[in-house]
Amino acid sequence: CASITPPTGPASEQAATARKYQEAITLGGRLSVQYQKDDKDEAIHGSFTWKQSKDRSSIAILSPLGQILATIEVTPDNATLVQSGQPPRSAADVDLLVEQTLGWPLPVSGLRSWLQGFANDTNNKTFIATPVNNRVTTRDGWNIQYPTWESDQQSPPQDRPKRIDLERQTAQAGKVAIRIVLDNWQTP
Amino acid sequence: AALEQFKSFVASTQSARGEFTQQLVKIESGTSKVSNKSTGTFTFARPGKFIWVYQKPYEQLLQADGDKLYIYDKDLNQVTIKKLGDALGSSPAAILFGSNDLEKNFTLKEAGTKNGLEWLEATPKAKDTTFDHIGIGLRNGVPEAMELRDSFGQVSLLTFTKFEKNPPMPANQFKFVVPKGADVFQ
Repeated sequence: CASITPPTGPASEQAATARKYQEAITLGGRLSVQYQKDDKDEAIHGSFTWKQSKDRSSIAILSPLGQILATIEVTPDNATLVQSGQPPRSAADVDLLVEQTLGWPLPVSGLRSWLQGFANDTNNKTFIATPVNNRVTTRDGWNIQYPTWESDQQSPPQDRPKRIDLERQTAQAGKVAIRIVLDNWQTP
Repeated sequence: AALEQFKSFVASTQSARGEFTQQLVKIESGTSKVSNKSTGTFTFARPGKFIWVYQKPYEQLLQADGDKLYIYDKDLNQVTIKKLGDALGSSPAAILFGSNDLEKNFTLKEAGTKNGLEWLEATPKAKDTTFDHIGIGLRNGVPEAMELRDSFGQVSLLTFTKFEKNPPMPANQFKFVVPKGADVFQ
């Protein structure tokens, strides 16, 4: 579901249709992840940088004091994850690679559109988040909510997601809850 | 020299407070690019008690009461509570605010003078830390800067100002209170 072109809807959906999915975009923000490891509750806190183009994504996860904890590079044919102080690990499926290496699932392929408020819901229909219509369950079982929004200061100004909450029950990491706050948006 | 200044700092400073700036320094094709500047305040008391508050560009708090570490982020509207034990380990907080047997977790080395400060280099003995090495710049027995280099070569530069040594502090200075409406995760 990486590339989504939202349909043009009725005028009442003006804000949503005005906001277009950007395949190439650079984002940055903060995140917290709660998950279980050998049925002990674990949590990580940090910030992240997110750079995506049509067929590539490059992500860095940093500690609160700014140290890079892990980098993730995704190209059309494989994904590579480097954790601080460890050799790089590669795999075809980035989501699987992240879960096996970091111990919690970061749904990288889905986030390419979810971060901007677009998703494919359980019956594979395109969902466009708005401040009013801000909940969706994705095809691969993530419950996403967009509780806070901000204006993008463009003219005309449009709403865009500020905080994104994702939650999913997983076999390996139990109940996983990810909270993301977006601090900066840059389109090329 | 730096080691001597640092030892006297550790011995004479039971608590302190002041302001900090934090910046990421990336070296790209030879030139250093500074980004992500944040500012805030800090308070600490040995051993293992500190409050590290980011005020700009967003509100975030790291607080340790000697037993637990609390991380609060206003926009995430969330408090995470962790055992302090390993979280402090070989982090910069341990150097400034932790227990004073620093040599247990770090090997310390003189690193000369740079922009008016005498620098000490602390390399974590534990391998699984996010730091390659930590530099501490001191002047008149007080730390004024810290350089945190991670294993990707990225450097986080901290500078300290308005440093007050052993200020008067209320007894419950480090008691954490959950902000109203924030979700708590143990």
